[in-house]
Amino acid sequence: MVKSLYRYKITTIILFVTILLLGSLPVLAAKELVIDEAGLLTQSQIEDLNDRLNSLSNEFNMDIVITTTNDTDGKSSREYADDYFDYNGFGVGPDYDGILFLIDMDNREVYISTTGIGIRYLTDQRIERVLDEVFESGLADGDYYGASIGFINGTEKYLRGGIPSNQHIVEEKVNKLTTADVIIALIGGLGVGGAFVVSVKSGYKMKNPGNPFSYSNNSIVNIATTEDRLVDTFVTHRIIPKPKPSSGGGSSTGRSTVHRSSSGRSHGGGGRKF
Amino acid sequence: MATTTYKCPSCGAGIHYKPALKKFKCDYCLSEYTEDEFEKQNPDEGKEHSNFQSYTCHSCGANVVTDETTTATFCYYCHNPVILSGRLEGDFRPKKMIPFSIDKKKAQESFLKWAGNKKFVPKDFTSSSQLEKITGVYLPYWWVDTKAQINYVGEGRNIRVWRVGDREYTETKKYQIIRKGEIDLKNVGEIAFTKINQSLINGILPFRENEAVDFSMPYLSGFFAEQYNITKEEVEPMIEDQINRYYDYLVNGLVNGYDRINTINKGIDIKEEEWNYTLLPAWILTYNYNGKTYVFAVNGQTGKSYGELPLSNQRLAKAFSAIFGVTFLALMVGGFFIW
Repeated sequence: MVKSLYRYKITTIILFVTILLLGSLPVLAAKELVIDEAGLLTQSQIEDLNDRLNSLSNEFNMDIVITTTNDTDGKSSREYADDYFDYNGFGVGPDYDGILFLIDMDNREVYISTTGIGIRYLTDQRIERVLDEVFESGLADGDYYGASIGFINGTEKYLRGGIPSNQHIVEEKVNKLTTADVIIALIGGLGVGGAFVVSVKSGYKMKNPGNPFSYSNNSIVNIATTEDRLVDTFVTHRIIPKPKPSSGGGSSTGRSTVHRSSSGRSHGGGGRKF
Repeated sequence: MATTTYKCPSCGAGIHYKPALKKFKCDYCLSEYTEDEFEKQNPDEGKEHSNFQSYTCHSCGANVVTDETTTATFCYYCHNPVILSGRLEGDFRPKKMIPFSIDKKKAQESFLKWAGNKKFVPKDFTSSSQLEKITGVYLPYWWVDTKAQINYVGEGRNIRVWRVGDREYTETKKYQIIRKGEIDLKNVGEIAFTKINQSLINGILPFRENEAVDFSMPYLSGFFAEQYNITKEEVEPMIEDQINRYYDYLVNGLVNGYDRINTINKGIDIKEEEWNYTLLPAWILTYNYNGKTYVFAVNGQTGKSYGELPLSNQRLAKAFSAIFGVTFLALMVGGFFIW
């Protein structure tokens, strides 16, 4: 009796969990996507933003997060934003799709960090436009709620606009010394040094000009007959082929520049001081 | 064999030709003579001593020791100029020469101008004692004068292109070109002396060949001079080569004003050839450094200089390492921060 009751309980739990996972996933995924560590927002503002972020996140299947901070532990806004996203379990799917908006009161900078598919939606140019909107809708006046709304509106607009057709990813240059750098420096050093030695050596040995005999100064030309008789004239023609229109080069509008964060993941992003 | 020492007609001291004055000047009584005047004062100078069989200095009687090709030198004992006139007779009598017009001082200046600002030469290289060693030498050359008949036939084309709408028209005019006449080409030369570096001598070319004069022995006084040791026959192919090339250029120069020229027959027929044994003036400085001989030469007529300077490899290696180091570091920094 006890045993069968127990079995019934387990079945119920399994069933319940399955229903939860299958049916009510969107409802249950109501994650906490606004983390106001700096206390810049009121509770109702947080709830309001959280609702909007959740619906947007569910629609595009990524984590769109807003966070604020008063202390970045000495990190730059970019490092802080990237790490916050990586180490707090954000990101959907194997590529950790998501976008994070950071209001960094320590560095006085707002920063948008993109990950996974977010990198492709928010190109460098789009991030700048979103930041424009962030500033216009309140950040300039210290209205952090307005700034957050600006971020959500801007991001939503571009998410709905889709990934631009010319979007491409460019690895940001990292300041580190590779073997190639050393080899280039070595070759360059040898090249410049060698060029110096060659130029000095050539200065110590004059060039041999061969035998620069001036035949015109040592000759007398006496031409009795000079005849240039026109013997034939003819005209030909051809049809000029139309030039093919040249294809345009790549543009920079679709560029998404990426870098690696401390976790080793790839992020896009951009920020602006306020 | 005979030797000759030209003596001042006034006081009897050994006399030198002075390029800067273009005259002969006696260092003792300061008398000056032009070449013409001097020849008149010394009639038959060459023949007078032709019975002498040894090289004897006419001033002090010392025996003069020379290379077997030397024709003009100085007595090692009394430093008077000695001309071995016996070596300037028969086949070895030069027909033409260009006298020196650059004197020793100018040759030295030319050398200093080139070597003076170089940082990697040994210190004593440009010293005055080194500069004293610069010597004026008459070098033997073979010169050839030629005359050629020209009978050129060719075809010239002038092309004009214009457009009407999407059509491009090309008009071609064909011309028959004929040139008949004569071209004299003179003074095509090759050095006739093996004891000097060929490229060194080429380096101080050209001379103003048309200023050459008939050979006159007194010009040699005060300089060294050498006899040819390469015969006409040996240089003939090289000279023929040069002549053919120059005639080609000259004939090509007769035809112009066409977009395209198609030569049918150049028709160069070389009729006459005259060989002139010629002496050309050069200042030569040699320097021994680390077992290698460096030579510097100045054209005795035009002042054009040519040569090679000794280079201190140790000092150059130091400069190289410094430059290498700086560039290497700069590129490493660049590699780290920029690319």
